[in-house]
Amino acid sequence: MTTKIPDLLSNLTDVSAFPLHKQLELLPTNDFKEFIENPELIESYIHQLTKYKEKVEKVQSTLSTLKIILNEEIHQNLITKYQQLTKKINSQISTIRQIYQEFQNLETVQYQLFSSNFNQDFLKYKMKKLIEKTNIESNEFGKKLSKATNENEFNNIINQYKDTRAKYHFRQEKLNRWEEERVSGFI
Amino acid sequence: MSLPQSVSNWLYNVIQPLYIHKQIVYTHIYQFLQLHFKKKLNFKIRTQIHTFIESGQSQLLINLFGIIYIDQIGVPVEIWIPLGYPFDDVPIVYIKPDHAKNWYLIPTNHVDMQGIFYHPYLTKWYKENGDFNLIELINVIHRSILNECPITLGPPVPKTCGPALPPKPIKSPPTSTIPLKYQQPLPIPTISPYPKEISTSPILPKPNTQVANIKEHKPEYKPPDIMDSEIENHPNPQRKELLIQLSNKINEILSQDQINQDINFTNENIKKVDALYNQLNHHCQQAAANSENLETHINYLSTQLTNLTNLNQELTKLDRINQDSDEIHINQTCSLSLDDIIIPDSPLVKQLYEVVCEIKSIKDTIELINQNVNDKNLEYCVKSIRNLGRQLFWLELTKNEIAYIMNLQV
Repeated sequence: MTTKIPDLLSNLTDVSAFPLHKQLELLPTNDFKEFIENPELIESYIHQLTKYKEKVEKVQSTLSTLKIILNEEIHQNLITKYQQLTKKINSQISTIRQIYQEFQNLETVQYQLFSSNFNQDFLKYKMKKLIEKTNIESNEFGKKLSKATNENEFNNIINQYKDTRAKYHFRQEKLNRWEEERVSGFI
Repeated sequence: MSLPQSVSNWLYNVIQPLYIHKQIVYTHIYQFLQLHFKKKLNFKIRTQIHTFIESGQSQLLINLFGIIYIDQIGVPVEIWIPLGYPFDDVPIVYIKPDHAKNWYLIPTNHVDMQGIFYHPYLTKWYKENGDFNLIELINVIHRSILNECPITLGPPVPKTCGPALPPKPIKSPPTSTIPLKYQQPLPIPTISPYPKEISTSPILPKPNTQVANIKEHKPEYKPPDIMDSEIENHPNPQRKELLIQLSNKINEILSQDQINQDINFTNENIKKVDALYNQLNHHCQQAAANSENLETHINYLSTQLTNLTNLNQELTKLDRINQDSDEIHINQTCSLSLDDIIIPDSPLVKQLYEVVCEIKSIKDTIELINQNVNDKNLEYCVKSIRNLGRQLFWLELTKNEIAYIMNLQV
C-alpha cells in the first residue's frame, strides 16, 4: 500500500484562543462586551485562529487522502486485482470441470477395456476355446494311431495322446470347478 | 531528581513553538527547575505576556517566579526568558514586591526603582567567557539580595536633601517624560487610566496617603499555579469576568461548530476505509491462495488424466492382442497362461486333479487302443494296455489315498 491510511483525528477542544489578538485586547470594555455578546463575531474569531485553520486543513487533507486510497488503493488496485482473480478462479473451475468430464469418459472407456480384456465370461470363453483346441489336438493324435507302422511310433503316439488327453481333462476340470466358483487364483 | 512528567511535557510544548534555541532553553529551565521547582527556593513556572520597556512590544514568555526569604522578608523574584534566550537575548529579572504583605521595594546597587535587576553577570551574558545559565543567575541574584536586600517592611520614605516637595495635586496626570505604558511591564490596558504599579514609579514618589488605596486595589500576591492562564492572572476583575465569559462562549460555540461533525464524519470514514481495505485485502489474499491451490489441483489432475489416457491406450492394444491369444496379456511384455489363472484350493487338491486327469487320460488311451487294435499291432497294443493298466492301478491307489486323507467319498 503506497498511501497510508491516516490516523484518527482528535476532536478540536483547544484552539488557543488566548492570548487574544492585540486588536481585541485593546478594545474598550463596552466594545469588548459587544464582541462577547455577538456569537457570529466570536465564531468568526474562532474560525481565523491558527489552530482552527490547521484543523480544517487537516480534515481536508485527511479526506483527500481517503479519496486517494478509495480510488487508487481500493478501487484501482484491490478491486481490479480481486476481479482478475475471480476471473482466473472461474476459468480454473471450468478447467477442472472439463478434466472431470474427460476423466468420466476415460473411466468408462477403461471399464470397457478392462471388461473386454479381463472379464470372467471372456476368460471362460477363452478357456473353452483352449479346451476345444486341446481336444482337437488329442483327437488328431488318435487318428494317427491306425497309421503307426512300428512299435516305437505306436508308443510315441500313445504317449502324446495320453498327455494331451490329460491336459484336456485337467483344463476341463478347472473350467467345471470355475463354473461352480470353487477355485482361486488370478480371477 | 527529575521533574514531574506533566511539567516537563508542558515545558516542551511551550518552548517548541515559541523559542529559537529550543534545546538549550529546555535544558537550562529543566536544570533550574530540578533544583528549585517547589524545593530550595520554591520557584514555579508559567507563561505570561511581557511588555518590553524599550519597545513597548508584548510577547508571551516563560516566567519563572519565586520568593527568596531573607530574615523573614520575602523577595519575590521573576525571571523572564526572552525568545532569543540565551544567545540573542539576556534573561530579564524583576523584583516584584508584595505590598499586601507590607513588603516594599527599595532601590539598591543592583535593583532600580522599577524592580529591574541589573548585574555585571547579565551585562557579560554570553559576551564574555563564563558559565551563563539560570542556575548561576539565581545564585548571583541570591548573593546580591543577601548583600543588599531590595525589600523593606513598610513603604520607603523618599530621601531628599532638598526642601519638601509640594503636595501632589489630585488627579494630576503623570509628569514623567516616559510614557506610562513603557515604564514597566504592564498588563493589557483596562478601563483604569493608570497602571496599578504606578506607585512604584521613581518618577512619582508615592505619598503615604495613597498606600491604603493601593492596598485595596492591588490584588494579593499569591503564587499562581504552574499552568496559570492569562485570564486567571488578569489584573482587572471586570475584564477577567468578561474574559471568562468569552472563554465559556468560545467553548460553547466550538462544541457546536461544524468542524466537530466534520471530524466525526472523517473519523467514521477513516474506520470504514480501513475496514474496507483490510477486508478486501484479506479476500484478495485468500483468492490468490485459492487460485494457487486450484492451479496445483489442475496440474495434478492433468497428470492423472494423461496417465489414464496412456493406460487406456495400452488397454486398447492389449484388447487386440488378447482377442487372438491363448494367454492373458496384462501389458505389452507380460502375460499369464490360462492354466495359471485357475488354481486348485490346495496342493493336495491339485494332486488329486492331476491324478484323476491321468486316470481319465489313461482310460481314453485304452479306449483308443481298443478301437485301433488289429492283427498287425496286436502285440504293441497288448503291451501298452498292460503298462497303462499298471499305471492306472497305482493312480487309482493314489486317488483313493488322497480321498481318504481329504475324507472324500470315492
